Amino acid sequence: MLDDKLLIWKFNRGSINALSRIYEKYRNDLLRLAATLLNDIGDAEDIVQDVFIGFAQSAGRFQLTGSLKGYLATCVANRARNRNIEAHRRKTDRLNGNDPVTSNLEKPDKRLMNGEELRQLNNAMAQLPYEQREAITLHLYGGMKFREIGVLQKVSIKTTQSRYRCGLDRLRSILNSKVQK
Amino acid sequence: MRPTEDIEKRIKNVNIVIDSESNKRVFSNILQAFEKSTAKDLAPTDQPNIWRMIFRNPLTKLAAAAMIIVAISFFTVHQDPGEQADTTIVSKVTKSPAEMQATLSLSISYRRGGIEAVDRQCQKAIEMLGPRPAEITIQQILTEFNGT
Repeated sequence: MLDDKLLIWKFNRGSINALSRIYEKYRNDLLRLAATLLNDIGDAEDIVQDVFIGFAQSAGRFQLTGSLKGYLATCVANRARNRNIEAHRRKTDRLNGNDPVTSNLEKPDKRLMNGEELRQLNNAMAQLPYEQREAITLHLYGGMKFREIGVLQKVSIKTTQSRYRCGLDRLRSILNSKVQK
Repeated sequence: MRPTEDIEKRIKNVNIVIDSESNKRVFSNILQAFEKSTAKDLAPTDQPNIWRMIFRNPLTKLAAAAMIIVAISFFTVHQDPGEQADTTIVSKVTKSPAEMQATLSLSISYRRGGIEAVDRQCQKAIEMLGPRPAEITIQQILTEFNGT
């Protein structure tokens, strides 16, 4: 926490080294968080890059009130939720017979070598309701407390804890059934 | 180990491997945004931020107010040297408030009753304040009054 405060202090005074250290420190957790929430590695990379660009643009006036990891994780979660809503809307449009707007551009380079373990976990996570998935990933990858997740999801702390526990139980049963097969 | 802890550990330990080349490219994009932002912050157009900083702290606010007062008083004292030269000339004619009062009083007396009235007033002043050196005459006082 103190380390983060010092990094932010240096970052606000234009230190590239501080920005680099923040990026290296939280990149992996944020990528795992985004990849689990979106179940798409390319989208996860885009979102993490956007979050860090937004963060870099706030240099000189960034004020940290809670934990830096929590702040960045919340940014990723918000963007992931928006992207999921967008994807759902596109899917509904397609089902309604409207022509989807597709891009001819290829996805950016895949910089994540998507391991088997991550793929399995993402597939299992995709079967959970979004709120449960969000509660699990924000707590485990974002390092956020249930109270903070509750504020983000606009529910009570009890509901967040219950979502977390139910999600883990369901995840365990999905992963175990796959192992047994 | 409890099953909950087991699954938590499993989720936490999922590895993510990042290609260093594209990672560098992503970081350079972030760096570009950072440099743009810091360059903007240092631009002269953002000078009002200094005022915001001053007014945020009561101590700096007080210091700034004191500085302004000192600057204004310094400016008014040294504003017009020409006027100051004039005041020195005036001080040569009228040396003290007592002298100014005396000449004014004599002038009023002269206008009312001529040279006799001035003489009477001088006699009265001598009676009140005691004798004066004999060499000072009314003519001398009037000469001093006229400035010639």
